Amino acid sequence: MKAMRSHPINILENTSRFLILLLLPLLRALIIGRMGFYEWLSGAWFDLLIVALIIALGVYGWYSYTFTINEAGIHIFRGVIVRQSRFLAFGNITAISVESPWYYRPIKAVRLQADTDGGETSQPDFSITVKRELAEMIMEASRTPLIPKSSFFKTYIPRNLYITIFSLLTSNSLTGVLYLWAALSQAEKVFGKPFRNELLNTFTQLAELNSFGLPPVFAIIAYIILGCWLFSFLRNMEQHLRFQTTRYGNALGIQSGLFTIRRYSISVPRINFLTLRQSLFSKLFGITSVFIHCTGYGKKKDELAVLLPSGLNQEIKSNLNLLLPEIPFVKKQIKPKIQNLSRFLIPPLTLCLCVLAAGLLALYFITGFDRPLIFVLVICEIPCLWWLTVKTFAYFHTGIGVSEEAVTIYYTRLYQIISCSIPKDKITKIALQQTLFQIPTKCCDVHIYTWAEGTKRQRVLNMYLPEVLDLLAPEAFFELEKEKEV
Amino acid sequence: MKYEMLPKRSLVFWELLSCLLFGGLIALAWIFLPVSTWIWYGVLWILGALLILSSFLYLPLLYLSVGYCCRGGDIIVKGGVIFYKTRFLKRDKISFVTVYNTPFTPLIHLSMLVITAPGSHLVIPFLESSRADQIADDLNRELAER
Repeated sequence: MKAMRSHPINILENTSRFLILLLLPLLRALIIGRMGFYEWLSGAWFDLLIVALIIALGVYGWYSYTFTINEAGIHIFRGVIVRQSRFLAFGNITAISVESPWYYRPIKAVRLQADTDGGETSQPDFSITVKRELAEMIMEASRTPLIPKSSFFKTYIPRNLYITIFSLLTSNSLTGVLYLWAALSQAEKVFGKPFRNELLNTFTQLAELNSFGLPPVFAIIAYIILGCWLFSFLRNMEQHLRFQTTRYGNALGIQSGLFTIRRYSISVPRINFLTLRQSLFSKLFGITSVFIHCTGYGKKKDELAVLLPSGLNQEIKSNLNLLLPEIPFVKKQIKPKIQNLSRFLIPPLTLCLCVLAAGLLALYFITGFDRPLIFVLVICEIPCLWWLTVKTFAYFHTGIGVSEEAVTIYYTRLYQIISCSIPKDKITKIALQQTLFQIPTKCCDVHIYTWAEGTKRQRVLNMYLPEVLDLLAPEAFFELEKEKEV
Repeated sequence: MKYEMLPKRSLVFWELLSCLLFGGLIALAWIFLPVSTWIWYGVLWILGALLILSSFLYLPLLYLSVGYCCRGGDIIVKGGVIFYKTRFLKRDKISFVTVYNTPFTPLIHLSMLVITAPGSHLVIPFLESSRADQIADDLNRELAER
């Protein structure tokens, strides 16, 4: 089998972060320093030698990273000082992703990643930049064992309106802040500190001009938050436009992206669970988003493991039946008892009262700042009251249902309303936890653990213990094992 | 159950590494600590004692304790001096196998085998290179057939 190598652009990928730090200051000294070439060379020869050494190491790293493909899997050989030889069987691969950034299109390069249930949680087991045709070949080879000859395709393409709603719901200012801060740091490295200071001063002046009667500092904060949210929203939109999900045999194909196209091939038997996520607003409008948990999908820091971006509840249910009938959502068979309603309401009520008490104390002891303090108190109280509303709804939403194939749990986490369906063979442990205060009322918390390259725990709170024991009795799982032995 | 032992070369390699490590620490202490003070004598004597203990007691015991066995259903690795551990890994749970070769491998013919499964991995250090490749090939063949 012929050994293959990554795309030559890989040399630049491995060395770029070092080269930028060394080359740009050197070039800046040559251009802005207004010195002769030989004069510049006499001062910069050592740095240039280091640059040459970095490039040489990059070339050697590229040369020494090879792989071969056969019908069973991928054999990888890599490492400069310590050489590794690793075999990834296609049967063990949970997800393969191919990312085609817009700036790589002219050179026909794509980033390929493959992951199994073993290995590190932070990095894929195989990650390489290769030519587009080779990536297609690897993806096709990994899918072939999963697709019987007589299978047919089922495809779901959401409307752009649903993608916009999904981007609205999943955007947050924090992500925008992180990206813009990273961009500003890089701009400072490339163009120098004066550029960054000028940028920030211009922004501050613009914000002060358009403050609409607010104190300037509040206007600046508001514009930063709004700007960062807008950046995050546009980024999410770009990532999820042209979204489509396709089922072929035992493989699930997901494709999305406008400028950077991302394609994923996921092994259906390796999906650990399905999650329906809603907020209170989206619940009121009858809109749901569907996520899957599978090793290798949604691993990168800016990647969401979405299956169906959003849609009306009925539409989502019918599409899920079409795409993943193996993981059904079961109706609730047990729910919390009325005497446990207070357990849902006490934490948010306590928080509301604490915030209110802190605000009133501040008003009593700090004079001359009544209006700002009342403003801050109202701002802090709103999320607490919102949480109280969500927790009130949580009492009606929480529950557990069990069927032949899966266990479905309904719970809330902070402001999210979640329904999660887990195939029985993916559950590694179920733990029932009771605090001292829960024992008298036979109340318990149910913790369900799944495992794939890391433990995932989901909690259903304040359930009635005897009902939980009856429903999740060990016999339900032992029967499944006996059937497998036969 | 018959356990295979590591080759004798691995003990020699460990001893060399130990001498290099403690030798380096002793040299650093000799250079940087004030000469002929109590701290200089103390550090040198402690490092010397650790070198002798590791070379003549700990490493030979560690070498004798380490063993591995590839059975039909699982792979077992045992070893340890202060904390003796026996690790079992089921073959049908293996995700992938990696063989690590250092720049010294062509000289000393020793490799490291790491068997990765969901949630854990098994390490067999300083195995005969040909044996490491043979175990890796057997396991990879099973993975391919699964």
